[in-house]
Amino acid sequence: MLTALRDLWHKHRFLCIAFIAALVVTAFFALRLVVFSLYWADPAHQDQPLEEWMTPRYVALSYDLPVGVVREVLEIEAVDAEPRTLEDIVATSELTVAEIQQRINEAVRSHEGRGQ
Amino acid sequence: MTETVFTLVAQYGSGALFIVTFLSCLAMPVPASLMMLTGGAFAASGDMSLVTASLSAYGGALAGDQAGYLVGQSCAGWLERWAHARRSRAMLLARARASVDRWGGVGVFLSRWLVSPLGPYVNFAGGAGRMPWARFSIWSAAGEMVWVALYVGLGYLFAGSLTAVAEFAADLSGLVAGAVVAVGLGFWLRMMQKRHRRSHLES
Repeated sequence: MLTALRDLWHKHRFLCIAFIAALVVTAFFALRLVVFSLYWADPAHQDQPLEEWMTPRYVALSYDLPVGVVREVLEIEAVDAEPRTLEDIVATSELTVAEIQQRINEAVRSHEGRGQ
Repeated sequence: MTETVFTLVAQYGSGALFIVTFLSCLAMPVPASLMMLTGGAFAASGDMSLVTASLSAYGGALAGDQAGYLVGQSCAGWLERWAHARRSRAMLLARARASVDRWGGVGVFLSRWLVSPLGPYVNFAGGAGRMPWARFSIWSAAGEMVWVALYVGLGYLFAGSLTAVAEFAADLSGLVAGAVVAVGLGFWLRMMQKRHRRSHLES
């Protein structure tokens, strides 16, 4: 067995290196997959912080709030034809993403309180 | 980079999906899988319709496959002239053709979704190797359907935690692509080892 391996290593070094590299890449992604799955499985890490690409509807979905509540928080009217992101909203109002985050967190708390 | 993709889909919707899946079939380094995940998530939130998101991604992918096949086909004559200049090259081409005849359909199908980094090169090779157009198109249509359904569906189901899903999908596809290449090289090494043993015994 060992002699066979040594033989292969001598005669097909490039192929052996490519094979080992493929194994290393596979192991790397397997490890990442496990680490990140464990990370995201922890309930403390499941809340997605608000980011500029999110739309009001997406925020509503992600934070489990009615869209109407999110629109109230963002001080916007319902506009169906126009998908707006938080980036657009921040640009046209005096709100910042941090402020919106704070308001959304409050809305989630009061919404949960109402639900119980 | 991930945020840019999310913003593009939010702003341009189905147009962005079509263009990116199209380009990804021509070996352009664009994040098509991530785009489709995002499309699925925006479909779940109600910013896009699920049908529009799926069809535009599917349309882009089909058009991209056909374009890649045509590019390959336009090189077919040149490839044949190059091959027929020498006997060893002609034999190599004949062997490649035989394996396309045998495995081409499954190869096209699996390189759409399971080993998608190889997809664009299979398109070029299919055209250059004169794989029958109907056969190529049927397998491409079936494979792209799995690809689009898989990613748009994952995005739709796990829309609330898009960042986590994007991470998960990228790692999983890296894992699968690495494993497929490792298994392929493993078989090749095994074949070499057997060939050596045989020649060893004969001598």
